[in-house]
Amino acid sequence: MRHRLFTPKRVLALVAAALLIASFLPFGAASAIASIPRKFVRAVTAPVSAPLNALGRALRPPRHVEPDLGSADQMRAELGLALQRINSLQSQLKAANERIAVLSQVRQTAGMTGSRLIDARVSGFSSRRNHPVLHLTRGTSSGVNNGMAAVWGFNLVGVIENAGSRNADVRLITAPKTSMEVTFAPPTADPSAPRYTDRIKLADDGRTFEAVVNLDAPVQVGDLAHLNDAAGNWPPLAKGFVVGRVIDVNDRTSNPLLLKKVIVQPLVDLPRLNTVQVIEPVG
Amino acid sequence: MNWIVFTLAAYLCLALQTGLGTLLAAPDAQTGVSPSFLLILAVYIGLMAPASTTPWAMLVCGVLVDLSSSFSSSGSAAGAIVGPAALGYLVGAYTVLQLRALVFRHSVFTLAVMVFIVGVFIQLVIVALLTMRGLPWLTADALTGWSAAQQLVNRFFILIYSSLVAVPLGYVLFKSTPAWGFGSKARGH
Repeated sequence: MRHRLFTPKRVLALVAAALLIASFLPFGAASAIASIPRKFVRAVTAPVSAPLNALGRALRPPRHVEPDLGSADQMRAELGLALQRINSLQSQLKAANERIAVLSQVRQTAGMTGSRLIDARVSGFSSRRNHPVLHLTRGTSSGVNNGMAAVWGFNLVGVIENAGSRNADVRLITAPKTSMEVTFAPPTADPSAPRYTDRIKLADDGRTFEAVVNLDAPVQVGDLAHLNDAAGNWPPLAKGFVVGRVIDVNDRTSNPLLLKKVIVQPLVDLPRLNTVQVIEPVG
Repeated sequence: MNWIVFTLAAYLCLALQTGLGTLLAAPDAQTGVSPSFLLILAVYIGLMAPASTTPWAMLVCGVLVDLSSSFSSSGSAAGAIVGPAALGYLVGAYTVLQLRALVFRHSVFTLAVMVFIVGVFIQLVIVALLTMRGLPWLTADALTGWSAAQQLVNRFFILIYSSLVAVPLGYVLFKSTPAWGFGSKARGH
């Protein structure tokens, strides 16, 4: 009996051994060996499988999975709050910068050396005979005397009058027939900013001041009017304090081709103040 | 066995398995499992074909399964590995040859049950061989994202699904038995 070398079982065993070795080849080598037969099989089955695959996708389109936006929505809400906070802080920063600029201007123009501030509470407001005054709870016993300047922050409020032992009045800057020399300057700490000095007087409405200036005067809406009393009609220590802000510049003058009218409004509502500071000269 | 009929049947089963994967996937088309038509064909041949033919036919089915699979490793491009499924189907051939004497072969329900039982052996071998690739003293070339436990669970559900599909497909295959030319040798063990 002849013994065949390669029986079906032996061949099957050899094939199985080869497949076992191929199973543990490095991936690169294994995929390289399978690449050509794989492409052949794909190419051969494509005429049938491709239409079936298209049919399957048509009948069962890919499901749109809604992403979990819970955390994204929460983050968006937090972002909105943060932006609001940032906007608020930016507004506060802007207001603080303006205040710093005004205070710098006040410091540049005011002669505050040798003085102290006396805090006085306002007990009331009256406007007898069109004479607006604030009533203070401080008097001469606290160092408040007639002729002293009363301020609120960097705003000029008025002049002390009728000072008693324990109370005094403040004649507001909006008293009738009030006029004063002021220096107009933009609200910036830049010392080189344009300045213009002229005289303002109380307007007919009793709440604002007006001045008629040259058409080319460097005055515009937003500028601040600082007291610049060269004639000495006001307390010296009040120099530099803010009388008001320019709210309007118009041509309603007798000669609009050469002149313009400037309207100044106090920054604070003077009759509604609760406290003021009285500048007392020291030394 | 008529190898031309086998070739045609294998071609159709592979094309259907590839083309209808999206349509038949459950529970959803993207991440679900789909039945293995080649497994059903292989078990059918294992039940009906002569003992000398069964291993070769199931080996071919295994190679086709290998070529239709896709793996990746260590950032390499996706590719196929010939061997694990082929050896798994070879083990399945041995299993079905041992069990077919105990069952009534000409039944679609027998086919469905045998698909599941034989499929367990096949998938265990496949998962074992692919998992062993990650052993440091062997290839040390693990497949990307490969989890043996997850694969076993996934393939378990594939076997269940395949067993269910084996009923209608087995009906068609059994109707086509005369064309296969299995002959009288298939009746024996």
